[in-house]
Amino acid sequence: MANTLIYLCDDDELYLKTAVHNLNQNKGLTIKTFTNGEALLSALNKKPDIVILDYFLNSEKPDAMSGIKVLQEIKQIAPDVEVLMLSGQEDVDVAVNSVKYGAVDYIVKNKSAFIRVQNDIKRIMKGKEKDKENAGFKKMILISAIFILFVIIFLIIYYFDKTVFGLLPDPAAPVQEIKPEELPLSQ
Amino acid sequence: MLTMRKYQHIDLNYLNDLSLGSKDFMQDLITSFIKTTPDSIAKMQDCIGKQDWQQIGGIAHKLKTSFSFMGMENMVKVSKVLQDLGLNNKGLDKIPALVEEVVKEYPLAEAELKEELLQLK
Repeated sequence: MANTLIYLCDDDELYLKTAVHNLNQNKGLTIKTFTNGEALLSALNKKPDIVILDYFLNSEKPDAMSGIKVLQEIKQIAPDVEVLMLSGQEDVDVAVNSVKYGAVDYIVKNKSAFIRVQNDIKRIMKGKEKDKENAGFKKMILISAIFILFVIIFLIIYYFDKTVFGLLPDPAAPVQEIKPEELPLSQ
Repeated sequence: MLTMRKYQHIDLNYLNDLSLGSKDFMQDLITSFIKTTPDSIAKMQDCIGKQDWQQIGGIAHKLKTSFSFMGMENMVKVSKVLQDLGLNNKGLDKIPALVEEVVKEYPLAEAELKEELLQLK
């Protein structure tokens, strides 16, 4: 999980502190905290790998953005950012809504929440590394394919137009006979 | 891990687990809890006068997590009921008595938390 940037957003500062304390046990994580969705969205240009977002972000400030609204905005601005949704309620609707709008998981804030968050982070980062490897492999295959294509095109041109822009000798041209006395070394 | 003392209104075993054995972190969290919770409870009392039940539900939702960290089992139950009633706009007549229960029990828990803070120092 080297150099993984995590954004953690919850309007409950006690929960934020506890989450940071627990997540900091993992090496390679840089964690930035936000107490509202608006601040998080304005920092999205720093391209976090994962956002951990509280579902009920507007519990004390009803005019603040809700977790679902923030999730929708994240997915619109930066679709590659993976979002883990946290909620204090075990509610099927909350879970369904979270996944519907693009969260990779919905985690209830119970005693095993931090273990689950850490497992999810590991899983997401493994997936991202695999995607990177696959992208590199695809690039290599594409370059090889282009190279082979060029070779084939070259051979076709060479076959039909033997001189290939006059740079190569025409294999069909009559062989010039050289007499032995014309050779520079012959005395 | 620390061995936690037994109290009547709090149980710090969960907080101890969350602190991963760090006394400093426990102190920090208890101090933050004592600093912020009275304001939230006062806000809930204000909301009764304004009949802002949604807001009470929202505050109770947030308090529920903090109460669970401090092992305030009864307060967790009460705040869960307040959250459900307030957010769903149901059984509103029960809300003032439940808020009152929080108002009465919180100082007892706070006293125990302050005692624990002295132990941790």
